[in-house]
Formats: sequence, structure tokens, C-alpha cells
Amino acid sequence: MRANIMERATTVKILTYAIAFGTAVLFITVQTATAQLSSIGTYHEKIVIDESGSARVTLSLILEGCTAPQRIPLEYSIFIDFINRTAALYEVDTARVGATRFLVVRGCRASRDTVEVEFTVPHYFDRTKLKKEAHGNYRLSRRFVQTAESEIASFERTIVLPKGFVVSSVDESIPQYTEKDSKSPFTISKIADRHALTLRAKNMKLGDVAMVSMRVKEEGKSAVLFGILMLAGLFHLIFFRDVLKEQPGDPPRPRGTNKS
Amino acid sequence: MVEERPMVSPASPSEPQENIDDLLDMEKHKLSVVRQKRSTAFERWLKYLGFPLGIAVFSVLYFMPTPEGLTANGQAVIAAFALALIWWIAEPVPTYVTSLCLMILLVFLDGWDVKNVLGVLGFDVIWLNVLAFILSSVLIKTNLAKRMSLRLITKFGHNAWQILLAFLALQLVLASLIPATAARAVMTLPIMMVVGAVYGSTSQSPNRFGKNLFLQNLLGINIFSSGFMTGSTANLIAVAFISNMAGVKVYYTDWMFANLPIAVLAMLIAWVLGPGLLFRIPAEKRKPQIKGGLNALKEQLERMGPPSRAEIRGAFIFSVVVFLWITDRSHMQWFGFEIDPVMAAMVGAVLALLPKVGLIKWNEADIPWHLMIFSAGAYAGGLALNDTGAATWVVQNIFTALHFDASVDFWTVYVIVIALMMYSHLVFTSKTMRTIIMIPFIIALAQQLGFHPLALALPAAFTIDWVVGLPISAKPNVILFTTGQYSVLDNIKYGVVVATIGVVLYVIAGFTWFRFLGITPAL
Repeated sequence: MRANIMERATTVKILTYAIAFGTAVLFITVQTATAQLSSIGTYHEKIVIDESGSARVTLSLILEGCTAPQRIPLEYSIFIDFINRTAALYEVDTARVGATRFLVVRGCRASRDTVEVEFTVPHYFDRTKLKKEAHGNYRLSRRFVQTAESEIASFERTIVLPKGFVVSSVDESIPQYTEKDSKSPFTISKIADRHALTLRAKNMKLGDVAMVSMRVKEEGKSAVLFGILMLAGLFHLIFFRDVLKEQPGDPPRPRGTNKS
Repeated sequence: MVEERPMVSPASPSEPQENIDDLLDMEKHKLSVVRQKRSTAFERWLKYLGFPLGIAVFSVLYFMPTPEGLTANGQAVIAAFALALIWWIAEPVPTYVTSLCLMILLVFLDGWDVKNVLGVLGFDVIWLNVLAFILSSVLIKTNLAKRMSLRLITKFGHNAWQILLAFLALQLVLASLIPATAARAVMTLPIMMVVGAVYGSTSQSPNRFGKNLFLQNLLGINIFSSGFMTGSTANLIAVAFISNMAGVKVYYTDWMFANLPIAVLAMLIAWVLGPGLLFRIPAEKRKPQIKGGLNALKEQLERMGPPSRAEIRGAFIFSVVVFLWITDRSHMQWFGFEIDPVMAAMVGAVLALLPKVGLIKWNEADIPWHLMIFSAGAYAGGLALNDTGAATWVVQNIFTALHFDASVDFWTVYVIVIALMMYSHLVFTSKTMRTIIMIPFIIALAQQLGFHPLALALPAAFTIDWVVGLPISAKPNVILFTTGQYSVLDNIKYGVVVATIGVVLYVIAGFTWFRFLGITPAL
């Protein structure tokens, strides 16, 4: 019974994604007829999660050869406190097509220009709604689907964890890190003393996905474990002193062995 | 079945007194019997202090804040592995108990998933170990191993030096024929066991000859692989990287001509160094440890008469396995699929255990399960280092700490790259993974500093197969360690010394031989 419900829920989820993606593609196809083709040189996103679980997102784009309204895909359906840092040069708005949200950049020039916007995504990593897994881990999975008509030459997403949190493990990523690749698509670093993960992808075409699934937890080790270890060491030093004595019943050591 | 037994005391320390029948009766030297070792004063102190030392190092590494670039899991794995390494060396608890502790720590500290940890016991290297001991039991029970060993000793084994050299020659020939290092270890293992026994070294009472014999074969199996481009898959991957990233094609003969002389030279040095310095064999122990010496062995060989039917059947079964190992490149053409070395050994084990056709019953297979547990735990630790990215983090941090810039001299970079590549096998258990991470990095480094990539990448690639420092560094190491003829510390001692000699040889070759061949630039 439960399996059936799960199965149906998954089917509905897949159908929703398919409809949303189809609508987005249709929208883009229609728009392409009027919009002149350009490319997104870089799509660099820095997501700084605060203690409450909200995230301040800074999105930096380098647009090349853009002469018409440019649509940039966004992962977030809800965001607040939107700031256009390049308002003097470009007008930036948002549009929604089905479940897909876009940034619309107007005022593009036929050159290589940078657009930078900032906004806050509430409940980005809301731990009150997430299931706490074994060892105090929370799963944090983020998926970016490329729904822009233009190719993204360089995609980079940096997720800065809340203060005191650490990456436990990276379980899955797209692009994948396989034995055939010489370089990992993700790196773990520290930004302003906070642990961060950066995912990179290159030449993302329409429909391509960049994804990372990791487990994060609060940094801090068990004091009990520390106590047990110290006691074990002390116990050994006190009660295993006889290890130092030669056992009386031992056979004589043969010559020519290394143990004599 | 593992049973605890006190160490068997050899008859006399000075004169070879062992009766040949007792010595060659391998039933008396079962590997599955856990030996009780006698320790020196130094070893007893090591045992006493090793336990708290392991805990102290673990505590520092685990309880410190997670370093930049490392996951929390990776940190836990590094800490647990460091503890295990200290305990394996100091042996405050038996090595297999340390392995079990390591497995527990990996799971309890969230270092590696429980499924992964437990799954290691099903890995190909563990299977190959089990199958190797079944095949060895066949050769020992049928007396085929005894016959081959006696022949080898009566021909070349007038003293310890000669027999050790004969084994080196054997490993060199096998390396050119069989790419799978584990298969070569399995093939020569029974002969090593009998030759070791003839020289008074059994798993119950190993001596310095045994240490030299088994460790030298470990070195030979691995290092001779570096003499051939097809010696391991990792070599081929390195060549592919050099071709794709540096645009230089390296041919089989280029590789062999450049590196085989170095591999042979290194092994000759190791041959002198082991019995002469590291595990010095006393003069009286350099001869077969049997009453009557070599003549008794010759008589024994004559007494054995022509090969028995059982020996011929044993030889047939073993030949089938060896044939499958040697012809691996033709399997696809013949069978439509490739037979893995482990599956080839399994075919042999099935033939050996079949009623009427076979030669042994399950109870006659001498499998040291306690050492399989050691291998599984140690392998789990090594793989967790790979999987969590901890091994990569360690190596990359060393490179970053060196702060190379454009003003750096080629030879400084060359020496550092060779040394790092050589010793990196102590943190990587997979040659393939090590190659994939290190070689592209070295090529990129050369390009960034304006050196020809081949000059750094090819000599670095030559060191890929020098995986000799730890019992878990490669499959042959795991297989040979399970004979109980040497300790973890013995392996580190011989392995690290030879690896260091390797670094020196590659540096000298960089200035001379590789320059002559056009691999490294002129001074």
C-alpha cells in the first residue's frame, strides 16, 4: 500500500517536472524566433547559508553577444530582497514559466558584460523541516537544470555552509567524479572560516543538469568518546605493565630470527 | 579454523638439525594456526607504548577542527587509519584485531558506510587469497611444490644468496609473461613456502631467511612490473594521459628500454641489501637447515622418484590456471569474454575440490582466515582513504605547500615529483586511482612551469608499480603477508628503504640515462 502511494507520488513528481521542463522548452523555442542568440560565458553563484537556514545568493553572469532580452534560468521559485548590482547598465526582472523561473536581462549590449544580482532565498536549508540522519547528518541536495537557450560556458555554484557546519561527505554529483576523470567536479574549501563546497560544470547546453548531493553536520566531536579513549590508554598503561616482562615459560629464542 | 598455539622451537640454534621429513611436512606448519610470538625488549616496549600512542595520534587528528578541503568523513578515516597503522606496527593487539578495530571505527565515526566496510571481505583480493591458498594446498598435498622447490634448491640453492637470486630471475621472467601481479604471487607462493621451510622458516617460527625470501619476492613481483608498459593497467592509463595531455606517444619498447634496467638494478641492490644488512642472515643459516645439507635434499629428490599421478593431476590443474592467466588478451577472441585472474583461480579451485577429479577436500585447504580478516580491515581503511578523498587531500596539500613558481629549477621539481609519486603509495591502495590523480597533475604542473611534460610525467609513471611499503599497498603484498613470515614493521622497513633507493636511482637516471634517451633535458 505504502509502496503504491510512494510510486504514485514519484510518478506525479516526474510528470510535474516533465510538464515544467516541456513548457520551458516550448517558451524558449517560441522566444528564440524573436531573440537573437547569445551565450552565457559564466554563471557563477555563491550561496551563503545563515544560521536560520535562509541563503543570500549572489549571481554573477558574463553575457556575450547579447542584443535582446536574455533569459537566465533560476533554481528558486521564491526569493526576497532582490538587488540588481548592475542596475546602471541593465534592467533585470524575473519571469515564471510553469515551475521554472527566469531572470530576464534587458539592455544587453553586443559585448561581453557582467551582470550581478543578489537575493535571499528563505528556508534554503531549513533544518526544522529536514530529517536528521545518523551521526547528526542532514542531506543537502541541489540541482540546477539548464533551461536557457544559450549555452553556459562555465557554471560554478559555491554553497557556503552555516557557521559551525562541516561537509561530511559528497555522495553524488553531476558532472560525476569517475575514475576516468582526472579532476573532481567539486572542491571543498573554507570561505571566511566557514566550510564551503563549489561545484563546477562546463559547456552546459539546454537540458543539462549540474547537481550535488552531500551530507552536512554540525562540527563537534563526542566528549564521551574522548573520555573513553583516554581511559583506555590509561588502563593499558596501568594494567598491561606485564607486557614489558619476559614470559617465564617462553621457549628459547632461535638464533637467526629477527625477533631476538 | 584458527587455533592458538605456542611457538615451535627449532632443535638447535647453531647447527642445521632438522629432519628433512619433518621440515618438509607442511601439515606441521599450517598457516591457519595462529602463532604465539616471542618479543625482544624493544618490541615489548613498542607493544606497551604503541597502544596509548595510537590513541594519542588518533585523538589529535580526529578532535582537531576539520581542515580546509577535507570532509568530516575524510578526517575520521585519516585518524582511524593512523591509529591502525601504529597498532599494526607496534602490535599491542594482534594485527587482525587491529583490523577489526579499524572497521568498527570507520563505521562508528561515520568514516565509511557499513555496507562498504563489510563488503571488503567480498573483494577480488580476498577471494584471490582464499583461492590462492586452495591451489597452494593442492601443490603441497600432492608434493608437487616440494618437487619443484627441491629441484630449484638442488640446482641453484647451494646457499641463501643463490636461491634468492633464482627467485628474482623467476619473477623477472614471469613479469614479462603475466601482467597480473596477484597471479604471479599465487603461482610462486607454494614454492616460496617449501623453500622457506627448507631454510628453517615456517609460519610458526619465521626466521630472517623467510623475511628475505618473501619480502624480496614481494618487491620483485611489484617492481619488475614497472619494467613493462603492460605490467599493470595503471601503466597504460599513465601512457594514455601522456599521449592525450602532453601529445607524446610512448611505445612498449620506449618504456621497457628506459625503465627495465632501473627495475633490474633496484632489485639487485635489494637482493644484496636484504640478507646483507636489513635482515642479516647469520652464516650458519645461509645453508638449508636439514641434517645432511644439500646432499640430503638431492637424496630426497631422488627418493621421490618419478612424478606420481596426483602430482601430474595437480600440475594439470595448475597449468590450466596459469594458461588462463597468460592468455588473458586472447580470451575475448576465444570465449567472447575475458576471464579475470580471480575467476581463473576459481576454475582451478573447483577442479581441485571436485570429487574423484580433484585432489583435496575442503578441510585440507589451509586458509589463514585470521589474516584474511587483517587484509579485509586494512583494505577497508585504504579504500576509505581513497573514497573520502582523504588520500588526494594529503597529496595535494603537500604539492600546495611546496609553492612552485616559474623561477623553480627543473631538477628540484623532478626530485620532488619522483619522491612524492614514489611515497604516495603509502596513502593510496589503488595504483589506478593514484595514477589518475597524480599523472595529470604532474603534466599540468610541467606545462605551467614551462617544462616538457614527458620529462616529469614519464619518470613519475615509472614509479607507479613500486607499491612495496605496506602489506596493503597492492594485492601481492596482501597475499604474501598472509603467510605470517614477516611483520608489518618488516614490510615497512624493507619496502621504504627500497623505495628510497628507487628515488635515488630515478634521480641519477634523470641526470644520465633518461637524458641520454632524451626524456629529461640537458643540464
